[in-house]
Amino acid sequence: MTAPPSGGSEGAIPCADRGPHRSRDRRALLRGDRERARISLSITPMIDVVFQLLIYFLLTAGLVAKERNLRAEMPPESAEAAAESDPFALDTEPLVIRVDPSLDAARARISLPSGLATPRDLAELERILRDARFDETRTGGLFPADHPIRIAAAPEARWEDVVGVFNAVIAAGYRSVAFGGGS
Amino acid sequence: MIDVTFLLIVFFALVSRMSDSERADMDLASVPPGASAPAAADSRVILNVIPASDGAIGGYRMQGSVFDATPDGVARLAEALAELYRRNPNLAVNLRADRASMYRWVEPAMRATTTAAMLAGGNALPRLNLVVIEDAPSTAGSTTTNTTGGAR
Repeated sequence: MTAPPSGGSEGAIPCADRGPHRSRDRRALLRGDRERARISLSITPMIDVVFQLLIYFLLTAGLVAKERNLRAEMPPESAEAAAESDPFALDTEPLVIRVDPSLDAARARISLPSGLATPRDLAELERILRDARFDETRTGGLFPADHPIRIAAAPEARWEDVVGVFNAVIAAGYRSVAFGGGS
Repeated sequence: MIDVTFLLIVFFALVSRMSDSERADMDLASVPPGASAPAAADSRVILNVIPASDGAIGGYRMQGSVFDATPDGVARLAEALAELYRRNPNLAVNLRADRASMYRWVEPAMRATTTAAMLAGGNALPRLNLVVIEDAPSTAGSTTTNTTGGAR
């Protein structure tokens, strides 16, 4: 049998040193616990506020991200002048789409050249233009995808109607779209 | 975790503040999905057509400067854009206009981009992005085609 260690509370202190400094270490440890207890900080409210801020900024940033772009490359004016003076340039008559304000303020009046049906709305405009386009996989079309198309919007036309026509032309597969000539 | 959370807050705070300062408050035109692309943040400047009542506008705003909706104001806008084109010939102009604005007020801003490219020396290729909102979330990939267009 082995004799039990002297002092019943020794086993609670993880200290390998069992020498004469034993009680002094114990006092220091207890003093450190008290100091640590005095400076402890409750961070739960701070975490709550931080998460509230994070949710706020996540939501506001998400609203901005919904914006999308309709891309266009505008030819420089000098390049336009050069193209007009090119004696070898083919004179390709653009397909003109007129956008006029109608008495019904909810939608604009969209007009296509004679030979093409008059669309009632933007979805029908896209369908007519898609049917009028021809490529290798489609027969019966009138215009290639790079045929110039000009959107002639009246000065009083709403911007949403003009952008809607531009969107329909692009969605129908055409690549050369210009604005102007509506006044 | 707290460190990462704070970094996220700083990031979103900066991004939202930049967005607020550049984007004017307006009701953008909405289009059906299919032809538009997500707005890219690379080398672009935002040009706002500031809406007013009855389809009129209160001028044009770009990088904190406001330009009047007059021929003189549009000329100053073109000069400011030309200066940006000289620094970055690949600059894209994101044009933001209210859905109810009349075309007569938006068209000068489009024309200013071509004028600015000419003033910048002709090397710049004006790239214009018409900023819109899609009617419904797009589930398929964007089918945007590079479009050649111009305000004539």
